[in-house]
Amino acid sequence: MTRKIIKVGYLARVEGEGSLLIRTEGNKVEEVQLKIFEPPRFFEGFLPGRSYDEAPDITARICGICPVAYQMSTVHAIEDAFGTIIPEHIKQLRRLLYCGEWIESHMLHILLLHAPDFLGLPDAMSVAKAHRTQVEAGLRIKKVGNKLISTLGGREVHPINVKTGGFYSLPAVARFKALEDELKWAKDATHKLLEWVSGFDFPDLAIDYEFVSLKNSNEYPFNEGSIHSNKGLSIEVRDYEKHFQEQHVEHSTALHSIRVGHGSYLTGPMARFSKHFDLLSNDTQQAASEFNVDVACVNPYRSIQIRTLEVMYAIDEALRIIKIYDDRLAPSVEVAPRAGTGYAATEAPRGTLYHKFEMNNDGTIKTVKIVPPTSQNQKRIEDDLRRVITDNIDLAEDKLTHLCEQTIRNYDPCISCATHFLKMTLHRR
Amino acid sequence: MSHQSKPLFIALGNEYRSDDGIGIAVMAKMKSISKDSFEFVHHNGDPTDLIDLWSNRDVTLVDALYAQDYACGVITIIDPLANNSLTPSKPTSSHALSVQEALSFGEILGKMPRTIRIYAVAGENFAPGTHMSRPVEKAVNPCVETIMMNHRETGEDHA
Repeated sequence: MTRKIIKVGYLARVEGEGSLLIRTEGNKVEEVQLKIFEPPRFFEGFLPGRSYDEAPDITARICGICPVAYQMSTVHAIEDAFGTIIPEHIKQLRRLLYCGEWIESHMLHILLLHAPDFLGLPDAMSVAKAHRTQVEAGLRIKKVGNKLISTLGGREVHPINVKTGGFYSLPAVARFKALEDELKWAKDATHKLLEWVSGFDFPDLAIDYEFVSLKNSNEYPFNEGSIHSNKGLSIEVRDYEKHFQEQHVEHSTALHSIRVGHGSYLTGPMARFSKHFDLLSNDTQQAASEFNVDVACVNPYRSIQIRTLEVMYAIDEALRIIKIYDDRLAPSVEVAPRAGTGYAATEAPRGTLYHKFEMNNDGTIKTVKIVPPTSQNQKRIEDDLRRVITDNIDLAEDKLTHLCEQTIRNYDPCISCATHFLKMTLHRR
Repeated sequence: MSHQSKPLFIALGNEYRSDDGIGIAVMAKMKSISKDSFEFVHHNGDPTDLIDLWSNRDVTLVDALYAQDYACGVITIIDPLANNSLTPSKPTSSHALSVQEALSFGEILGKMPRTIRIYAVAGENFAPGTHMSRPVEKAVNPCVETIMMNHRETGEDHA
């Protein structure tokens, strides 16, 4: 019987640091460990005692790639605790800020982290050398996302204009109007990039996923809605912890999430796309059809196409919101602190981000619980790896190792959030 | 004088991470003594943005350096173009993309600075906090003086 051990000591092109260890015996996968070895970051430990108005600036620091997601889940959870009613124009602006984050985060992953896998190239620099036109266009698209965030958020990374109740101030209409032409260019350029990534060679894989995402009846999900899955789950966000459980595993400083009684699940672009295709813009739906991206896509390697489609949608959505934007409206509403517990989930680029804030009467934070998308996906990633290794057990070790790394990158894992991540070890026996 | 014709001063780093605030401290001092000599930018270090910012400009960049072989406060001046010291980047997480990767990207995409001089100040404490180590604090003035001296020497080229 052949025993194999595959080790990847440091997984490249993911956000953060981690490693992978796989042991096989004959055709059987004995062990898969996606090891997350960065130390816990204790955000839930040092938020208690701080004032509610400090929270969005603190949780934003959990991630440099998706700070808006943390700010959005934080303010929505605190507003839920305080009973704050947010007017429609502020809801729209929060969507606009999220559009910026989806554009910049997705483009970074599509172009610099994931595309090299499909092109047989080692890194982003090699992609830039071989596909300069696409990389130049992609970086320019990413910059449009950054510009949206800095215009509304005050700066590109860790925005400073977000507060509980809305925004500290609103930019002049002209500042958004100045972005319209670039957004229109970006939409066309994204369509061309979609054509490019659709030409990649996607490994065959079909997995019967449980897709989990927010659902809001009239909009592709960003900030609002209840939590649904394609396997019958339909719950309010406040009931999240009754249906999802975090488990500690020895090899990871990030907790694994499971749906109670069901096991691993997938959150992120594929889940959103599959469940809410009909809420995408017409042009995005048409582009999906043009490049044969199946609404019921269950091949995780095709997530690169779906991310590109979500960029196109975010651009359309940004253009729509800019068109109705009115800088004469109030940037925020009054917030009246009170004791209570608030719950929120929003859709980070990588998936659903759950927050629970328990607040004291004076507006200070009593307890916090944060469940990032990568920790929700981590068990699902290990389950995907088991399947991929089983299906490809006879591949040469270097090819199998690459396939495993590519499989992990399908998820655009943000280990820094989950807490950080990769090194891979394969033991074949 | 238009901004484009001025040399560009880029401060990298985080003033809330102790010695990582050296770039911003040097920039503040520079502004106080010679605010018109440079266009000053405090940048978050995103390579995809840096390459657009510095393309075809004369660049002075100040950042903190962490290396066990360097005593805290030591200033190292690097001219990556003159020394032809661009080396291939190693695969890593996107969190670790550095000025090195930005230069490599710039070279591939034709967005290189016309000239670039990097002033790297060795630090020892990068924990949260706004106080720099004493040797790093003491390096601010020599760093400014060296930059200004080099600026005067190359001033005509930059005009």
